[in-house]
Amino acid sequence: MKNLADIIDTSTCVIGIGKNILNKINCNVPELRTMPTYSVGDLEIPSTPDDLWVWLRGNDRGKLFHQSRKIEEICLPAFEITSAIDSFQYDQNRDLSGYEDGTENPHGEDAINAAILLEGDNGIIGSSFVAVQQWVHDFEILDEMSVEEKDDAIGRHISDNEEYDAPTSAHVKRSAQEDFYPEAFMLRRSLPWAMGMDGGLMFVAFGNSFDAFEAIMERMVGEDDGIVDALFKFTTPITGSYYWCPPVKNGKLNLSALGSNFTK
Amino acid sequence: MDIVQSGILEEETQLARYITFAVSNNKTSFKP
Repeated sequence: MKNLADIIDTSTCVIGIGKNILNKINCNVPELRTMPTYSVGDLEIPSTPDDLWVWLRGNDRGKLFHQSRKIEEICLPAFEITSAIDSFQYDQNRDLSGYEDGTENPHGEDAINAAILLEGDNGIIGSSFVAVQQWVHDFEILDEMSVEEKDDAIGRHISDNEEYDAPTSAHVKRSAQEDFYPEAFMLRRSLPWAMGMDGGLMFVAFGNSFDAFEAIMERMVGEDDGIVDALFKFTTPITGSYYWCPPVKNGKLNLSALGSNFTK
Repeated sequence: MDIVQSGILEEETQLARYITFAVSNNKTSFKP
């Protein structure tokens, strides 16, 4: 972990640590927990916790590949890779369904307030918590849906991204961040993924806790009023995990919250 | 915000790679 903390550039590589590691070293980071499971009829939305999450960003797939090899080399043999998924920008912030994603994302100070823990001890202040889910789209179902049916599932017109008076089950209505009390703002950094002929969305949402994510997921699955988000008509999460993203000190990951063994 | 992993706040990402790791099964105890 210390070696990893020393080499990463936090502008192009974000690190998240799972609760299992903290349990192994008898350390507690307030708010870090395991993602709950949810049910939508017969569909189980899984919790698939992992121990370490690395998000590499860039403009060159080859460089990302070699960066990931370097990180793997540092992490072995203490860790083994459980997944490596490449993502990409599609037509200026669109999901592979064709709809724009992240329209309601906060910016500037609002983004910082939503995503970053702005109080706490050294080693905690500056942290973030990230919820990650890999969603798989059913493109055959999407192909069969009319534009009106898809617009009603999302709650926006695909033609101009404008919200309209869509059914209550529309995704934008189930997940409107300002409709929650307290407001459930998250900073989403999702991107499409594709592998072979499968594809979907890597949902990535940073928060100053997991409360906003859980409030939105509960409403999406209809826990409060029985109305299920129409998004589930054509897409399903197959993974789900929570991570703590440590703060930074002097340009390096600040792992002091994990104890003296993690600092020099 | 020099105490934050700055990639979290970067708005533009063209390509990304997400890698997950589990503590290796052949390690009896995890060490820093």
